[in-house]
Amino acid sequence: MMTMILKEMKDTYRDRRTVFFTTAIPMISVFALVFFFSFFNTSDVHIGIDENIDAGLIESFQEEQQEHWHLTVSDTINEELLDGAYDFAIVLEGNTLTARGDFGNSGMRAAQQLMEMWIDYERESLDAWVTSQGIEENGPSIYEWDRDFLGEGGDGSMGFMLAFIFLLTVAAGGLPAAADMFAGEKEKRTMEPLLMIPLSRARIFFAKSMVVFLYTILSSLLSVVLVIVLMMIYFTEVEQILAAVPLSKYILLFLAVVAFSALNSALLVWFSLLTDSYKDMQNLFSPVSIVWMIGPFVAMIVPATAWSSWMLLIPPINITLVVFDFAGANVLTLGDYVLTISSTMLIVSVIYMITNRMFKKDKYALGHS
Amino acid sequence: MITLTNVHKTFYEKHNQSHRVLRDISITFEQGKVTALLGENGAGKTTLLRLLSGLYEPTGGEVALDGVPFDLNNHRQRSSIGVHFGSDTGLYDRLTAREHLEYFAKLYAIPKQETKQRITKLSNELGMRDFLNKRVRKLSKGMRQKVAISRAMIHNPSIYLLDEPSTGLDITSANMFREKILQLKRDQQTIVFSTHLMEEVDMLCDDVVILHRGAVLYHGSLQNLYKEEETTDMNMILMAMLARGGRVT
Repeated sequence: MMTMILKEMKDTYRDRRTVFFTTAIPMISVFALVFFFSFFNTSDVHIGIDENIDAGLIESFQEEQQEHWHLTVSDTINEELLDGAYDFAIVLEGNTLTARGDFGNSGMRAAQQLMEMWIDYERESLDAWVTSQGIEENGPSIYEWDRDFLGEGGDGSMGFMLAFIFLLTVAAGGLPAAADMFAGEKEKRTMEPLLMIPLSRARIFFAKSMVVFLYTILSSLLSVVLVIVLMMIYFTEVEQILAAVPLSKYILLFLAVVAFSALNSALLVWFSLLTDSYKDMQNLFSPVSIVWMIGPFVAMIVPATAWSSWMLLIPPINITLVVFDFAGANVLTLGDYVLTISSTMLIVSVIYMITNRMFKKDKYALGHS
Repeated sequence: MITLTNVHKTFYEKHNQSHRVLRDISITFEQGKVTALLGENGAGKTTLLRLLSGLYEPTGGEVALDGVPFDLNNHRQRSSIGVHFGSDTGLYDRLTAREHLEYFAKLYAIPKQETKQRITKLSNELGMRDFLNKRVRKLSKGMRQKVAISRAMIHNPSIYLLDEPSTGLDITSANMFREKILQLKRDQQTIVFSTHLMEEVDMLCDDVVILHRGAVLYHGSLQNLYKEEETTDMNMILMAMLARGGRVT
């Protein structure tokens, strides 16, 4: 059986298309997406600040500004904004601070951060006033309101990107190998001599499925490692987030990635058995890769505090939540990880039981010959 | 020796439609004899070969090797068969001819040194030395055919099932192949092959099976057939038998 695995690996490795989809596509996707995200997060933003705003707040803006922000304090802010000097400006109108302008993606993020600075400044000012009136700081209040992002990842953009790229590459990475292993062999009629060898069909099936799995896992691990490395280069805060992640979580993430790769490769094998040609296989599997993308969008919509156990039972939502958790959400327990991995592996086992039985039928093993 | 008793094969298609490809076949392929399977396209020659190889299971009836019912899980029985699956050679484009033979030898658990010797022997007998290290993708149809035939022979089986083995071979290669078949016959191996080349039948075969629409029109020795039909022109015999097709079962 090892002979078969090694031969299939060698044969697949010699196929430029497979090598391209397994390694180059993930790398290109990762580079493109990281560049895309970093561009909108770190591209230069020109911000005008109304000179009439409280000096303390302006000082606070200046102290906490990001490297790619360009703050200009001016008393003719509206005119300069209309002349196109700024992407947006913080303008004082009566007692309202208005963020006005053509924000763009990076501008939106900057405006959000400035608003958060204003909230902090307001609270500090209020605390100082209360104290100056001789009132105990927490005297009249029933509760205090605080903002505390779960984990240091905060807005979940790293989790979204990691999950998005992982799901994209895991779907694309194993596809050529899977198409080659069953549908491709039926198309080229190489399956027939293979089924003649003195090995049970179950063992032949296992060897071929193993190759699909190995290519899928290779592709997905490559993409995960690459995206983490690139994000560390592009985003300074990523290093801090990752440094705070305990080793046990790295191991759990690895196991979850392996489990999801196994699920993806099991589905690939299933689809490859259902089809008789490489092209049919690709056409049939394309919708699955789109379904995988539901995961990151669900995780973006549902806040970490609202995650529930049933979500951990459904791929690809469960793997997405694991990635979000790793990337800063930090709410999943060991039990949640076990639930994710075991539920995924249960589905994998069921699929392999079905596909193993299918491979014993000539219709699926040999195609319509 | 392969014995078929009341074997029939039906393929079931969509909407419960069935297609009976082989009908009630009872024949024996004797050890040390070369038998040709003859018939028009679609007569059931390839299906019969696949059934003999164990690739297809019969819908009814029994296939036995040396008196033992054929069992797909019996690895010894499977190892005793070498199959060539026709002009559609089923080779891996990205492997070289040598890698093909080494791969299948390994799957049949043949020791490395012995594999080397067998590859050298087969490449000499079938004229493959010049392209042994070339990838199959770069080989001509005839060269691929030789690799596929060698693959069927690499584990020294005792039964050879060959589907149109000389299709695509040039005259020199076809003669080399025929010489190889005669040598296997001398070694008391069982050989069953399908062909459309009547001179090959005359040159190699002891027995002939003529199939028509999945049924056996004739099964017996070639010499008897010549005697019955009062000619040695196989083309004439075949055309005449097919024309009478419905009357013979």
